[in-house]
Amino acid sequence: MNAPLRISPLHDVQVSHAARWTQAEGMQTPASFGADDAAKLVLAGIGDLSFRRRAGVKGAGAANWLNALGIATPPRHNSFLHMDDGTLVARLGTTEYLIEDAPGGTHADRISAATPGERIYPVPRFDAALLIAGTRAPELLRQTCAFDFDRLLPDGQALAMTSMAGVGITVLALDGPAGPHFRLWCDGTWGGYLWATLVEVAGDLGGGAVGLDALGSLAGQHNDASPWRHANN
Amino acid sequence: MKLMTCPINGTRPISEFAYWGEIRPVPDADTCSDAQWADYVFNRNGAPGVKKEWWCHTPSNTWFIAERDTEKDKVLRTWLHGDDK
Repeated sequence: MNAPLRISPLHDVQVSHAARWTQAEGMQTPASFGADDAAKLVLAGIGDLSFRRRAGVKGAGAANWLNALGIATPPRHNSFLHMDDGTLVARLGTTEYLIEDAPGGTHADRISAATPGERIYPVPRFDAALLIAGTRAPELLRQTCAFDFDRLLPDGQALAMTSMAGVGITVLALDGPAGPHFRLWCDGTWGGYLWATLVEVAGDLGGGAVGLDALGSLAGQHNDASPWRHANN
Repeated sequence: MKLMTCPINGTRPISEFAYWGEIRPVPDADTCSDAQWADYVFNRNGAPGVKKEWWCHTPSNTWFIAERDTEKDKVLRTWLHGDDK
């Protein structure tokens, strides 16, 4: 395995827990936390998708600029869409956008390399990106956040910016093979605290941290042939 | 739980918001007296009543204006800057 080029904001807090590591999108990330990862995922699994490449942009001209780069933008504020290639585009508020590539995608790199025009402002993204799944995930969310997650139906394409365990997060719901699951992003500097807090609460519910191997298609979503698997083999 | 309604993000617990002070007209620094400028810089109106205030929904960094009755601690309405014209 080549040396990782990117460091996860969760690396320091995960290093004493991970049983096995892999490299995804150039970032060292836990492949497994133990033999019971899959069982934890069924109840309340906390996955780490910080390795996904992402970019941010804001400003009155941001939507048109992204459209010119071939990136579709959601028409409503606080909503998201998936492009045909699996790229997730989230509209945060009125004029800010978060673009997260599907595995192997290049939109984030193209955005970072492009020169923005007037009234377009790049937003550096160093998020901790988490995934919460399992039958007891709603219970976990109720214990850590005052927001009513029933309002985030997967087919509604809505996202929310709220506070979880005291940390500002962006969160949305997605459909998965075992029912709805939740993706959330927070500032990387708060990521270790939020991850440790969620893992502790999930532990009380029979779940816990889940490595990339057990996440399977949840980590790749629209693209099951995830390139990160090649790095693991 | 005390609640406030962000014009963009909807009704949320007050813990998601930060108060940033009453909206006060800025005196013209070129023409006002020293006493007027000092009053603007150092003094605040602590009398209870209906006031317009800056608030921020911190998870989304959405800044907006709230009209609040500080005597009854009741938020009367909220709106984005520029939407009240």
